[in-house]
Amino acid sequence: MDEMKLPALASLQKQQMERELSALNEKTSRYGLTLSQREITELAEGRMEALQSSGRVEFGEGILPRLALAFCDSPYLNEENYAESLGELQECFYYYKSAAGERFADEELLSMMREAFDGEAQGSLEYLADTTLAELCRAVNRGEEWEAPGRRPLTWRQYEDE
Amino acid sequence: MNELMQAADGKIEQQPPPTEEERLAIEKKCMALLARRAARYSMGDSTSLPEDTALRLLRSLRYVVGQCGLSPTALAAADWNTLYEQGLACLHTKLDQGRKLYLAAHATLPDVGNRSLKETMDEIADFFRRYDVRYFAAEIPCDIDYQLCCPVPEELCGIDYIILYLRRILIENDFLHRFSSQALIAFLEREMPEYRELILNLYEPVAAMAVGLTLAREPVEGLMLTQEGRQQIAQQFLQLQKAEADTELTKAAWALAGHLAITLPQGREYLISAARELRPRIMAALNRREAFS
Repeated sequence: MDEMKLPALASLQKQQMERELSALNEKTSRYGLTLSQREITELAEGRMEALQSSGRVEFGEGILPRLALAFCDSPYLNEENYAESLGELQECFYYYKSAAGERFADEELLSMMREAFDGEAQGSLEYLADTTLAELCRAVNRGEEWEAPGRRPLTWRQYEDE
Repeated sequence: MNELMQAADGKIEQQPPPTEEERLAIEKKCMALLARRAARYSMGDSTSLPEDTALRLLRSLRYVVGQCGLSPTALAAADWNTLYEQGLACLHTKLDQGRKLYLAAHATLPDVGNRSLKETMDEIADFFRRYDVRYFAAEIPCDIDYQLCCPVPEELCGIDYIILYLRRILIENDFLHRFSSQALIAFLEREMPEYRELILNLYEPVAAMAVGLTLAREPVEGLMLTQEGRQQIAQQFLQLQKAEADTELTKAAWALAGHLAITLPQGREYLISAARELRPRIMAALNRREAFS
């Protein structure tokens, strides 16, 4: 490790995330949403690409399990678009996490994304990314006031308690 | 690996290279510690960080763990959480040391009015306020414009850089204080009329003049070399090879140190090192004289 680089994370994290997503299927299946093994592998690979393109590094299981949990009861997700939507939401999440200058905690950004997705975006990922979140980032970067949305995604504990 | 082996005086201790097994074990422990540090840094608010921030955290933790000075074999076997805490304790001790060095260096600044030196010392005072030993221990959050006659190796980082920088400032201050303020100011105004505003090292030209006066056997305290003295030095060095010139300069520096009562080895070695740097300049000046004669 003479060079300053971040090796040896990718394969371990990929395995960990795949395990988490497989376990998540048990919870999301009640909403008719599950991921096949192929989809899980593709999402794990997509995570690496999304992190790389947004210039980010992630430790542990990553955001995808929490993203899935946050969106699984959205009326705009179904079995046909679930995997692809998660992939795009993941990409969107990492991009705007950087674009907003680290101003949002993970839970805040997840909450805003969910609220906007179900609200003004009406299930359109394109609208969510190119309009709502872009406007929000511009506002934050201009130093304008911003309030956290009232609705927060369920945590694992809340989900278990339901 | 060199960062982990670097001693505080800037010398990198040569360790045998790690085996592949040791390298993998070290890498795994390092990345596990990095994940914990990243989680602490984000206070649990983020699972991801900008790559630049992660690299800064990585560099910092390697610097902290490196304070323990362990061999690759020991690093591969050790508990890195414990090493990290030990490294932090070491850095806190060095911070105390650095503050004391700063106070001593500030108290002994030569009274000649160079803005760059003053502003750099103000910046170093701010360093101790800005330095984040928990997350960015390898960084030097201040602007150091005033360059030393013998610069600190660039491989040093964090508080180690500052400590060595201040030690060398103390050496330079001590040397400059061997001359009266009037003599120093008169010399600097003569040689570099705008010295107060320039970013230049004060020690180097004064040391060069003092070594020259020693070679010419003229009084050192006045910092003024006569024309005869210059000619004598030119005559002397025209006949010398490089190695012989280095020897003469070393002898002159040694004699000067004795004359000025510079007794600490670091002060003498610093002066000898500065004197040796004069040889290329003397040779270049002689070559120009020959070219135009």
